Amino acid sequence: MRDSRLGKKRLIAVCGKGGTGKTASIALMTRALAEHPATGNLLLIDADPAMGLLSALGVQVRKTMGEVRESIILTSKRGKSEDKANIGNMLDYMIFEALTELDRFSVLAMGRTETLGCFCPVNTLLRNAIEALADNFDTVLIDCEAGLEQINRQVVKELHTLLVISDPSSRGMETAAMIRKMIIEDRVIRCDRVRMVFNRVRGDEEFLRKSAAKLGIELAGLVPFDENIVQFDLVGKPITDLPSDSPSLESYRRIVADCILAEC
Amino acid sequence: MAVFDGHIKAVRDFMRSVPVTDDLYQEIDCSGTPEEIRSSLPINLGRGASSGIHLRSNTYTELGNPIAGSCSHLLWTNNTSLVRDGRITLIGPDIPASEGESLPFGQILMLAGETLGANDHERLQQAPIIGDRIEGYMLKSTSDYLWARVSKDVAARGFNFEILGKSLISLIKSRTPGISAIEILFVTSSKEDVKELASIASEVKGLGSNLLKEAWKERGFDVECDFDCASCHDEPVCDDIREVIVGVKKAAREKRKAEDGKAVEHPIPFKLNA
Repeated sequence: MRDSRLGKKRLIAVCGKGGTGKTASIALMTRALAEHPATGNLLLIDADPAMGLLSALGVQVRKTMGEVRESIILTSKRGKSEDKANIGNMLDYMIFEALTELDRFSVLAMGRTETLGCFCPVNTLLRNAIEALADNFDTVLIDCEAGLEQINRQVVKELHTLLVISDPSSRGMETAAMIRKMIIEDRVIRCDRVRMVFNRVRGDEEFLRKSAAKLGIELAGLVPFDENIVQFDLVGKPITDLPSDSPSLESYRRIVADCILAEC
Repeated sequence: MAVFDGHIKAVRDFMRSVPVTDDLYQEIDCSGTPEEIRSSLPINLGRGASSGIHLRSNTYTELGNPIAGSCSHLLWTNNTSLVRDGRITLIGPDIPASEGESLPFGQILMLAGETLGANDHERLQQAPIIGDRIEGYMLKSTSDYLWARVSKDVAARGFNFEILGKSLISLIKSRTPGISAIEILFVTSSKEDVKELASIASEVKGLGSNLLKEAWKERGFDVECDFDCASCHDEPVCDDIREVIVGVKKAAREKRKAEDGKAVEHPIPFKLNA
């Protein structure tokens, strides 16, 4: 059941330690969501400044939100009076320009910003605009860094589901524990539920189930090690083009159906 | 006032010389009050009539996206003989013939009113900002560019440039006093034609900018300041004074309203934030 506080759309963020397969996970979830009729209009927000997700999806963007932010700051600093008066209209136009629409989903890349400084009002302006844009979609999937402060500042203030990605390593689990603490104790971002996915699993399933229970995070699924992903990564092919019967893709189809579409 | 009269004539020359076949050149005349025009349309007009965005999957025709090219300008005059009221000219393919297409888009609005003068320029520039007021027509715009999408729903009801033109005429006339004639040119024929139109109109922006500067100077504001406020230690002082100016103006407005007999129940006193 979807929460009325967040409107009718599903907001799901995915985070985890670097190197745990987060990017491939989101690419596969994007494909699984795009294939499922219950998803509706799907928006993918790449909030990781590294923007590795775009190549995993085989997507090129025309403009990033970092560039939009840059234009606003420069217009405010150096623009002519009438340009400054037009920032509102410019913002609307540029955000639409930053939205890349594909056949089955749309992508908004946050990118990085060059201008140093906090510029909190600019972040608030952009976050409000992103939230207004996201209102036009039924499902929003956000790729974020392990630290969640950045999506709170720049993307959204609350989520339905936070999906923590880890591999079976102790460091991956330490990061998962840190993320849980940020949500439950530090309340970095409002979030209805936290779920966990273990990637690259090779037979140690019982141990991983117990580990998730020990961390206090409900397990959404175990994704087996998939040689196809290694091969695709090696030659730079989009992960979304994996063969339909790839074991990792089948796992993410189940996670999407049971954890994202059924719960949100 | 003849600031833009030469540009209106240049636009007419463009209309005569643009190399298109007869089937890609349409002239439509509409008449009536804004209310009469509005009631004749198969779509709704007004705030919120087209809220949100139209995704590509729901778009029948796209106009002026940044790759296809666009230009938008507004020219006004107090010589009413230069503007043919209610005339909508389309050069290029119309919306019903462009399903799934992304067309280049040029839009020139020509307005006339006997009493129009330099002081009206600022409010006239706001006239084409119609935002979400035309059902099924999503518009994202800056001062020079237009990017629009027509939804499949209104396309099924016959939405075309005649309806778009009539909608603009109705909305602009009802929202902007002092305008007695509106003529609109839409160009969708090619990116090159839109570029040519943009070059004719490029001078307009500079002239308009000068009119705005003069109007602001008359009101006592310095708009020529090139100083970078972000690097100035005195910025907080200026921020405070700007607030004072806003407050003083607000108080003066309330006073004027009260003197005009329009009762203001709770005039809001201005105060400087700590």
